[in-house]
Amino acid sequence: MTETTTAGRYAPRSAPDGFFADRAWAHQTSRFRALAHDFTVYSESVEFGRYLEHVLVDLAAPGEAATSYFVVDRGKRSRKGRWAVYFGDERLSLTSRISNAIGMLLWHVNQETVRRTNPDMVLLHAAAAELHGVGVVLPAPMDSGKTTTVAGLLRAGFRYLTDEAVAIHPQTGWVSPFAKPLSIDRGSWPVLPDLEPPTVLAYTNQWHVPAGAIRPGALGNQVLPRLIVSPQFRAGAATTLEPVSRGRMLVELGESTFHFHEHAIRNFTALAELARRCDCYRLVIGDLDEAVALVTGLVRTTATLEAS
Amino acid sequence: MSQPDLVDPDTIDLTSTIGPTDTLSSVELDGETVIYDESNGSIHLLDPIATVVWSVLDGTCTLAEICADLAEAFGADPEQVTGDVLALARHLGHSGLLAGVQGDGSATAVPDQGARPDAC
Repeated sequence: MTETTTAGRYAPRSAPDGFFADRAWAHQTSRFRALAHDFTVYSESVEFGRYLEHVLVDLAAPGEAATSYFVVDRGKRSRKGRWAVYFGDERLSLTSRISNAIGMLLWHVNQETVRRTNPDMVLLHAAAAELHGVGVVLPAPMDSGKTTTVAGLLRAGFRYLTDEAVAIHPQTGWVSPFAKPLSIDRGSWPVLPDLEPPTVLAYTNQWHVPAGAIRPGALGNQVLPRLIVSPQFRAGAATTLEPVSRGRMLVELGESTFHFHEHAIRNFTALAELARRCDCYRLVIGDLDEAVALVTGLVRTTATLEAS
Repeated sequence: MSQPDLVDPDTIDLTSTIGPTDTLSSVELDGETVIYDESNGSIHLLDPIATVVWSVLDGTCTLAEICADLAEAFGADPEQVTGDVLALARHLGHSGLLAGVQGDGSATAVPDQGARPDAC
C-alpha cells in the first residue's frame, strides 16, 4: 500500500486525460485482484482509502492494476452529492454519504468480478469454505444465510473461499478463492455481534468483514469440493441436516449460477460433475452454532472416509 | 396455436412413437435424470421411474410396446403401467421435451442470477 495526505502526489496512469488526470489524489490503494477483475482505487479521501485497504486486504496483490476506480470529493456544498465514484470514466454513483460510496464501490467490484470471470469459469451464487481438505459449497438464494453460515464456519476453524460467488474451473472442477470481505446483512448482526466493524465508515445496511478479522489465517486455497450444503435460515425452526438427491441439487445449482445461459452447456456439464462428486444436503438453520456443528461433523466424516 | 406439423401432447396414445427433441442435454445421477433444454433454457428433473421410461423413448417403438416391456420387466400391473406411461409421456410433451410434440410453454427457464450479486 502507498499512502499520503499530500494532495497531488499521485497521478493514475490509467486515468483518461482531463478530469481524472488533473485531480489531486490523497490516497492510492494497493492492487486488488478478484478472480479476473484487477483494480486499484484512487481516492480524494484518505479515510476512504484506508477503509478499503482494510476490507479488501485479502484481495491485495503485487504489481500494477489493469483498471482503476476513482473516488472524487466534490465538496461539502455540492448539492447533487459530495462523493462521486467512477470506474474508469464511467460514473457509478453520486452520494452525499461516504458510506454509500463505499457500498456502491464494493457492489460494483462484485458485479465486475462476475462479468469478467464468467467467460472462463462457472460462477455459482454460493458461499464456500474448506476444512481438512474437504471443500464445502453452500448454494442458496439471496437472504438465505450463505454469509452467516460461512462466517460461523470460519469461527469454527474452516478456511474461507467466498461468501458470494464460487468460481469453478469447468475442466477440473477445482474452486478458486474469491476472498471478498464477507457482506453481513443487518438481519444477521444480532447473530454475529463480534464482527461489528470498528468504524463509522461501515456501510449502513451491511458490515464488510475481511476473513482475517474473524480468525487469523482463515484464508483458504483452491479446493476440489466434496460436499454441497444448501443453507436456509428459519427463525425458531429446529436445526436439521437432510440429504438431498444429486439430481435435485443439480437443478438448484443450475438456478444458482450467474449468467447460466451465456455458457449453458459448459455450465450444465461442470455442475453435473460437481453434483456427481459431492454428497448433497439441505441445512435448515434455527441456531447457527448447531448448524456449524452439524456441518463440521459432516466434514470430519467425509475426511475420515477419504483418508481410509 | 399449434404449428401444423406438431401434435397436441394430450393426443399422445398407445400407438404413438415418441422420442426426445434434439435440443436436450441430460445427465443421470443416482437413477434420476436431469435434462437441460437449450431451446428454452429450462431444466427438468425426472425421478427414477420416469428415468426408466425416458431411457426407452427412442422414437421408434410405440408406447404400447414400451408399456408391455416395462410391465414384464418389473412384474407390474400392465394397466397401471399403461396409465402411468401415458401420463408421463403427455407431461413430457407439455414440457416441450418430445420431438414432434407441441410444448405448451409451461417449462420455466433457469433464472438469470447475474443481475444482482448480494453485496451492495
